[in-house]
Amino acid sequence: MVAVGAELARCAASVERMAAARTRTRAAQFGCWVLGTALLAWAAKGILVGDTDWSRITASGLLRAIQRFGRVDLSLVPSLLRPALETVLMATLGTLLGVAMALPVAFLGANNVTPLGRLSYLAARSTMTLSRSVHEIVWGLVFVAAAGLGTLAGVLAMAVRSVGFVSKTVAEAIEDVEEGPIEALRAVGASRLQILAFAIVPQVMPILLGNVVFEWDVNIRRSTIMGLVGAGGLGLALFRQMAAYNYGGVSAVVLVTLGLILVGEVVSHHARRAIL
Amino acid sequence: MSAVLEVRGLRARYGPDREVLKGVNLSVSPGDFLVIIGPSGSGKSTLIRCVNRLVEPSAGSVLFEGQDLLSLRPAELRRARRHIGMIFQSYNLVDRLSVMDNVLTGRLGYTGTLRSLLRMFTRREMTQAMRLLERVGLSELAERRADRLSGGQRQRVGIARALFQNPRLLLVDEPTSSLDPKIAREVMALIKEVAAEYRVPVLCNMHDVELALACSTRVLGLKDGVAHFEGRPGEIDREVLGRIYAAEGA
Repeated sequence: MVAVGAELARCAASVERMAAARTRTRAAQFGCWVLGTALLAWAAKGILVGDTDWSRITASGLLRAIQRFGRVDLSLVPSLLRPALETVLMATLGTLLGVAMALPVAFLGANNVTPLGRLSYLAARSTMTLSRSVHEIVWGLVFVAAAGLGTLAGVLAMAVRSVGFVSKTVAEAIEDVEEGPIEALRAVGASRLQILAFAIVPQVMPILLGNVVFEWDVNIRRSTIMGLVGAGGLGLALFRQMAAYNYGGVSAVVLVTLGLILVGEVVSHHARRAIL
Repeated sequence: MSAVLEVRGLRARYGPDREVLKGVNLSVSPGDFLVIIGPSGSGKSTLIRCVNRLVEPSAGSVLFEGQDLLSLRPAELRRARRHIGMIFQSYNLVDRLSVMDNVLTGRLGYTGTLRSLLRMFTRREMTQAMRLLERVGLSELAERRADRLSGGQRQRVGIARALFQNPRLLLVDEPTSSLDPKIAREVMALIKEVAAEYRVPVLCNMHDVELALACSTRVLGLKDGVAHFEGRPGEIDREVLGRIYAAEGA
């Protein structure tokens, strides 16, 4: 009976400890909420309240804007078909070029197959970060400066922007492959390249194809705004309509863009289903 | 009669203070079916993997047909591995490749890089592979993807892949541990049959003692990285098993 009493006391003590820990967690959570709300309020005051011309926002103003943009200039649509096609082709070429560049980067950036140890691993990982952290519009500006106005700059910008996502996901897929087949192929005397081709590539292929299709879909979106920096496609048409204050024309371009993105979505949905 | 495989004073370690093999000797001669038995953690799998250096030993020698495998440089080691077939507990097939392609990978060591990258295997190689699939009873499933097979079928593909190497030694690592008892006996019987047909000696490890005694010509009892018994299966009695399987530190 004495032993049972001691056990009970031990249980009670640990429950006490856990209850105290829970109280601390709740207090910390509450503190986080308060801090977060305060931060949000401060940010809203700093950038919204001070910098907005509130007198311009009126009911009639809003109505006028809706009226302007609502009068869609459908006569423009036929002349948008060529830029629309250009947009899709830009996205496709950009994706393919990006994937071609991403594959070696993925291989170097997977720590289980990278050939030169930390050196090649870090080089590949920095490439991924650089590609992903610079916005596609900024890449567009860079390549317009380098390659001149036109679709080539857009293709290059999207390719470079795609390298990061594709190589990162593929590198991670390579790091997650099953070791068994690799071991089996080492045992038959296969070379590194053969192991890559027969044990690693087949395991990574579905992830690679799925992500390429996803990236193509995303690139169609990117491609529609590339024209803003002079890199061709629908974006250029949008920019021209805006420059001419032709609000109905802007709406027409937006409508065509929407249609294009929907098509991309449907195609990529079915392509991904076919792969997996 | 000279031994095909001669292992002397083999040591292996995982990390500085985890020595798994503490000086193991064994030899495999033509016609041998040597089974290593022992409790889990005794070093059976490590021992087998040290022979073809899937695990690097820390000391000792592994003479395969008179050549010390431990002294070989990577390219020479790859050439030597072509002659040593291996069958695995988890089959280690490439799931997304067909049964046929899995068997064909058995000869990658003989195939030029470019030819193998283009998957250009010769008619002759494919005919040989087909004949092996026929032998293990899978010729109907040659074009099926490996991940569509049952465990027993997958292990038969593993056996065909190993035989496709024309091996002069067969390493077999727990071939039946992932299979149910009936299939396990069938697979074991198949390994024993083909080993005799192709005249290839076998070094196999197993924890199922009964099955081991049934198919082996010689038995090695491994415990705690040290060989505690070596002899014919008929010589194993309760006393020997007690020594091999006795609880450690008792």
